[in-house]
This record gives sequence, C-alpha cells and structure tokens, in this order.
Amino acid sequence: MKQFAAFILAAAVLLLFSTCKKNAAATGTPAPADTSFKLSEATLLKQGAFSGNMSYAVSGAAKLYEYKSKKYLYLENYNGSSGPDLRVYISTNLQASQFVSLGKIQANSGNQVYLITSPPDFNTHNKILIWCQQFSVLFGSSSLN
Amino acid sequence: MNFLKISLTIISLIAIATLSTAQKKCNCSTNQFVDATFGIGSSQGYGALSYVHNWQFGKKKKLEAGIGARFTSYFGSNQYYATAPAKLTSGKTGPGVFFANDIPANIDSVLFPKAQINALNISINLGYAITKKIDVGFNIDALGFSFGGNKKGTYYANNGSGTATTAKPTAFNLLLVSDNDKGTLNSEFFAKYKWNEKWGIKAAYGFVFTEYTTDTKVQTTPGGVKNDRFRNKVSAFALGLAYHL
Repeated sequence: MKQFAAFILAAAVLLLFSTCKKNAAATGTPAPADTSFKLSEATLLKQGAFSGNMSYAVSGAAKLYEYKSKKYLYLENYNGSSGPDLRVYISTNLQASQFVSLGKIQANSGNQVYLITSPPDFNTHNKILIWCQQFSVLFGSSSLN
Repeated sequence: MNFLKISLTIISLIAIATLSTAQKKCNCSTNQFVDATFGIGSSQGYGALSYVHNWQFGKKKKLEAGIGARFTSYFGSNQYYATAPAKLTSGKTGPGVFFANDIPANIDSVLFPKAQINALNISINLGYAITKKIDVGFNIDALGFSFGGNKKGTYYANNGSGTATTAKPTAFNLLLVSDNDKGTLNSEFFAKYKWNEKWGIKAAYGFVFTEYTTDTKVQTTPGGVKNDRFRNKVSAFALGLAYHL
C-alpha cells in the first residue's frame, strides 16, 4: 500500500510538470450586427459585385461606407452557399495572404452590416472574401472599386 | 542538421550514463519493454514507439521507475496552435505558472491546414503492479528533439488581422513546468494487461503537445513582445501493444 501511495505521489508530481492547461487559441470573435449604422446617411466609398469560387454560389454586392467617421462594410442582397466557419475578410488577394477579419458571417442571405474597427489601407486591401477559416477555402469574393 | 546530431549525441550520452550508474548501484531487478501506442483525437492523432527500462523496488517489486526513449509522430489537419511561451500566456515563468490565469490579449494563433511533427525524447516512467497481470503507470517525455517539414499556416491576431506564414517544428524539447515546456512532448496514464510473460495490451489516456516556430516573429503582443512559438495540445484515448524483453 505504501508503494502504491508512492506511485500516486510521484505521478502527481510529474503531472505538475506537464502543460495540461487547455488550448486557448484565439480564433476571432463573431461579428456583431451594428445597429447604429444608417445607410441613408452614409457615404459610399467603394463597391463590387460578389462571385462564387469553384462550386460555391455567392451573389450580391459588397459596399464600403463611411458613417460618422467610421468605416462599414455593407453586404447588399447577399446570398451565399452555407458552410462551416464562414468569415468575412478584407484581403490583399484571393489567397488571404494578408487580411483583416470582420468575424463570422452574420447570415447566408440578406443585407448585413459590419463595423470595421481596424480599417486597413483599402488601396491594397481591396478584396472582400467569404472565407471558410476552418478549412482555408474561398467561397466567394468581391473586388472593391 | 548539426543541431540535431549534437542533440542526439547528448541525449544518448545522458541515457547511457544514467543507465550504467543506476545498474551499478542497485541490486533491484528490472523490467524492460517496448511498446507501440496509437491515439486519435479530433482531426488529429499520434503514434508512439517506446523503449522503457524500469527498476523495480520493494520486497514484492510492485513499484517501478525508470527512463526510456520514445519516438512520437503527431499528425493533424486544420489545427490551431496558440501562443506558447508562459511569460506571454500567463505573464509568469516560475512554478506559479501552473495556477496562473491566461492573458487572452496575449494569445494569438496560427491555423495549420496540415500539421506533422516527429519527436524523439527521453522519457521518465513510473509503474505499479496491481496484480501479476495488471500494471498501471504514468510516463512523460523530458528531453529531446523534434523534426518535420515546413508547414504553411495562417496567423490570426487578436485584433482580427491575419497573414500567411510558414513554420517548422520547434527543434528542442524540454519538460519544465506547465506552459514553460518547450517543443513536442508526450505523456500518458495507462493500464496494461499482460496476457503472458511477454505480451501485453495497454489502454491509455495520452496528452501530447506539439510546437511550431514560425519563420518570422509574426506576433507582437500589446506590450510589444514579439513571439514565434505556437503550441497545440491534444488529449486522446490511446491503445497500445507491449512486448517485455
């Protein structure tokens, strides 16, 4: 019995050395709907039409607005294939080499507004991507002009 | 490659010296075995090959402890690796790190579509013979090195920005305390049933953490500290087969 107690004690001590805290990977926060945005009072800066990638159907328009000194992305008449872990990115290219994530897509259809809390340079970040983050797959995109 | 050779040489020398010293001093009997273990988690898993040399203690030789060598091969798909250094994850590096809360603002991640790391480590092993047929035990990797191919990944910062990156397995593995650990280390609780003198089957709860180092220091914390080490942890039920030498 003493030996078993010694075994338990030794195992417990060794366990203390192990990194057994759970993963705390930051995977981005879901995009909240912004209710303060008023489309009728906002200034349209850039826009582009969505198209799907591969077999994914994505349609509608992406519009960049400024309203009360803040930048907003407005997805108009958006309609897209559903998928796991879909995110909205403002990216430099279609491969998402450098991007700003606006969070999880709010819905697979309809109008939706995203507040851009950290606006990138829209001269370089001029692509809006619908991106499956979990599997790194492009569903659809729009070029802002 | 030189680093790998030097690490392997150091590990081998330590293992040989420890074994020979222990055998000279101890009249106790030994239990040597090799085993193969496979564990599967969510979209990830591992296989491990181990050699264990334990010394048995006490009149009934129920308790045993020793060292061994373990080769672990980890594979995963679409896995997030989180900021690894303890000084960033909890702001502490001493023993208190085990009880410290995470600092979410310091924890970013890298998503790897494909991850694969191999590690060769010296392990510390404990065992207890409940009956002649059934053993329980715990083992943990302590020191070694890792290798594997470069992998493409995507770095995700807390502020929502992201960028493509590449990374390779952190070369040096070292067991310290909690998040202070470095590299790729494997550990497990197990119960083993020996159906004859030579062969046994093992059921285990394994805990493997793997680590990649990005080619550039992609992360800058709010405090201005740069980081290139990211860790993934998998816990999984595993099954194994053991052969006693």
